[in-house]
Amino acid sequence: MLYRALPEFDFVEPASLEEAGEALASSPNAAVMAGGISLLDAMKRGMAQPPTTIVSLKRIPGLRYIEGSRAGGMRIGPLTTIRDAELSETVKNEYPLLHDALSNIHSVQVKTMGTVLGNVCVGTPASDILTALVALDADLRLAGRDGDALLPAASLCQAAKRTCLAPTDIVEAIEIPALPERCCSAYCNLTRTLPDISKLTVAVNLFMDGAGCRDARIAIGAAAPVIYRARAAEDALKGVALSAESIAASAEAAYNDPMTKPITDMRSTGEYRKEMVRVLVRRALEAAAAKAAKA
Amino acid sequence: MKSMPATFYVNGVRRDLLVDPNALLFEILSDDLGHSGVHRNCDRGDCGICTVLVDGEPVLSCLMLAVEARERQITTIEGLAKGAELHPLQKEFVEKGAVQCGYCTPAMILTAKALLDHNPRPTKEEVKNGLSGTLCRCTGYVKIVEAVLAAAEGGK
Repeated sequence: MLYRALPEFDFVEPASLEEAGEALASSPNAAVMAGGISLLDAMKRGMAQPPTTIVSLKRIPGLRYIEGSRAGGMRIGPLTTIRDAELSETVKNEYPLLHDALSNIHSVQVKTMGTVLGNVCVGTPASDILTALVALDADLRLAGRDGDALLPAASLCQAAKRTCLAPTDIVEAIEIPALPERCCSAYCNLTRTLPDISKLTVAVNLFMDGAGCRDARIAIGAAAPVIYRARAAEDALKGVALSAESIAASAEAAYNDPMTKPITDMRSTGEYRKEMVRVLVRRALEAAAAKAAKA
Repeated sequence: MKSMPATFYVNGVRRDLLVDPNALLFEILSDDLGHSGVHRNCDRGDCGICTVLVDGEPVLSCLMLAVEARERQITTIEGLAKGAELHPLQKEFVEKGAVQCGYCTPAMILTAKALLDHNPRPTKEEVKNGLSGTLCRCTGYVKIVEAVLAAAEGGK
């Protein structure tokens, strides 16, 4: 017997989401797998309770899609890879905020294997994709639920890498609502080196009305255990014209937000990250305002 | 844990094996099938050195279950040369001296092949982006990028 890096498990390949749900429910310690990057990596690193059954979605037909439009909303399937989404003209032209976030992931191999939904469901506060989805008011649609099938992306995470999903839950789609025509967005992040994961992420989505801003979404990642919306920073922009002053006030509000409590780790000190919240929110708002001025 | 019968097409050759679900693709390719050009390195998806092509797309063989590559076309570095005739990318890597220790070279060439198959005339920037998931700790990338650009031009 040759050496194997992974512990033993049973491998199940259901033919439908219903069968997948049954397989998850019938094994006491089962995990669902799409691209597999995060799950297999965690298992290799000796996760506390590695799954004894892996339920792969890969052989279920019809789960790899991007459909819809900016005017009617967009849906992304659970087997859609990050690469699929990055190369999608729909994403690029109609939801540029999501495209910009996806493009921040550099490794072609990771983008080829990893799914958009898998990246989100890991629940890391440094997810470029989840930061963008929070700013886009996206929902996750859970399979096999009745009344409570829609989970707002902003409510997914309870702590770093801990989501509110039950082990039997399967997310069957990301649903991004329609965007009004006068909507301008921007994505900014900081990394140590380009291929590294983000040490701070900011996504802004501004709903414009004349020269002013009717409403705003400002999502911040890697500055707290979960990705959050900086509500006071959003409020600072509501009903005011976009100017250097209003942008600075909003960035200051993000800096002072009680949620803004970044950790110190090998990528940065918490003090530096906190300073950079102000800088990145300002940069993202300036970039979105520049697009609004052109539109 | 039940072993599963699996058919792989490695460099065009059909291989029928009984595979444990927990076997990683690179364990099968390197340890079981003896493709020594499939290199184990960081073992956690950071460096790209274990890259092989599955149905023409670059994947990390350290983070893919072998059973997920059943019935698919797998290309390792051993599959590129035709007898003694090197692949254009291999020729250019030799020509430009894009190799130092050589450990990343199989992955670098395969990643470059996938890039050129999608985009036969990449810009320098596109080459750098296309290769950014594959790390080289010796060369500083200048000669690697030159070699890929030269191979692309050679395909005119």
